[in-house]
Amino acid sequence: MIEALVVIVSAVFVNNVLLARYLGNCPFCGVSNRLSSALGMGLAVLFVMTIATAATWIIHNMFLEPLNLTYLKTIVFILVIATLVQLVELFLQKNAHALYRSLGIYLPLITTNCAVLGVALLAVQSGYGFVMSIIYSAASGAGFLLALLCMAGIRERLEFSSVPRPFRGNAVTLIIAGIMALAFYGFSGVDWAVSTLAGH
Amino acid sequence: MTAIPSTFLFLTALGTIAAVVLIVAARFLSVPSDPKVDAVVAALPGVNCGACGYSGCAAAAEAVVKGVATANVCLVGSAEASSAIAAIMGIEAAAVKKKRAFLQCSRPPCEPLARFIYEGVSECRAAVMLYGGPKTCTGGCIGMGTCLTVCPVDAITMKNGLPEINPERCTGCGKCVEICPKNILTLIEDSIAAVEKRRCAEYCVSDTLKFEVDQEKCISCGICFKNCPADAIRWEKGSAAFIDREKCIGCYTCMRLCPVKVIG
Repeated sequence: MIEALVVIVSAVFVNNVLLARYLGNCPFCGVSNRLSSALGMGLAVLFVMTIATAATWIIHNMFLEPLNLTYLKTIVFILVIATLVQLVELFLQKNAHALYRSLGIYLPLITTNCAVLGVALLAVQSGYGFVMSIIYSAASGAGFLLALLCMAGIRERLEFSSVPRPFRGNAVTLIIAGIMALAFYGFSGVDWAVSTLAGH
Repeated sequence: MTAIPSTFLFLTALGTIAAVVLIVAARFLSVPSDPKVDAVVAALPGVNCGACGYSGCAAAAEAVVKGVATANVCLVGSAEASSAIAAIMGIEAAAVKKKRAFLQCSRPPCEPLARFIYEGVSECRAAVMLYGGPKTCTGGCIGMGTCLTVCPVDAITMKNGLPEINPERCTGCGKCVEICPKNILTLIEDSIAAVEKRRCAEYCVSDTLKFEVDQEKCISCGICFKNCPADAIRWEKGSAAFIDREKCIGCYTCMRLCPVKVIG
């Protein structure tokens, strides 16, 4: 229970997938100009990250480990995640049309997103169990959502400020990302503190 | 078994399984889409501008097929597009009235006309927050070109401090109309002749202010005469000042400087 809390705090704040690991910068710059689209994208990533990690954990521990093929995990994970996202998209279109409408346009965009792949690989590398992997990936997705929403909020206000011409667009977005990453650096050690406090 | 064949076999097997799963899923989970919707989507311009009020061309096409929208739903598309849609739906096409953006203000917002010096962001929406903008005519164009930045087809250019709309390029999507904080851009039907007459040619302030000197109360100090940027004031020492309405640019300078406040 405490271990799960530490993993969640670590994944959401300390090792935030966007700001500390610096994975998934494409949606971070691309879909962060409006709060509404950032929310849709973030929820889609949270959803895909969780199911993708669950599927890749099974593939890794049921097939790759026994067959001594763990060196193939990057390419296998890409294949599995891409297939899974396509499958989920088809499933949602058929059975949950409202959800498909709100998440549908973002799903193909994150088929081979490096944040999704990165979290799947990190979950396996960290040696988490199945349930802990799912907790870890969902928390990472929540961290992604949080960072993306913060960025979208900042960028909506940025529209009214006079950014020097050479910095407009992606340049200032990346600078903001760097400053946000510095701010999130303030969380470092919080996961350690949580585990220490729980231990005593 | 050596590493290379087992790698090869594993990846081939995984790829095949993935392919089979997707093929089966595509067959069983496919949602039959209305062929009419696809045909209507093909007839639309596909720029997803949202001028029709739907979230994109696909949504507009769905509305047309459902009978919610008419064949001339697309404001941007040509008459051929609406007749093509009408043919698909088997209905008669009403003629699309193509619209374009039109600026109602004709007054160049040049600097001498400023009520104050604005040094903020060059952005109309921000400038309006300060006393309705820096220009003397509070109803007129501020000329910072916010309309220009939102135009998806680059139909607007700044000319002499006023946005000029190229009627050839303008699609009538209404984005500039929506964003203009002064609400002086409107959509008009393209066919209207002599639209220039619809412009506001008079300085809006002259409707309420006459820029006249109260001849009886004037103390003949000459401050207005010395400071008028347009040389519109006639004055001789000892007699009341007189403002030439032909030359007056309505800048308020005389009103602001007059020590006895007799200009109104």
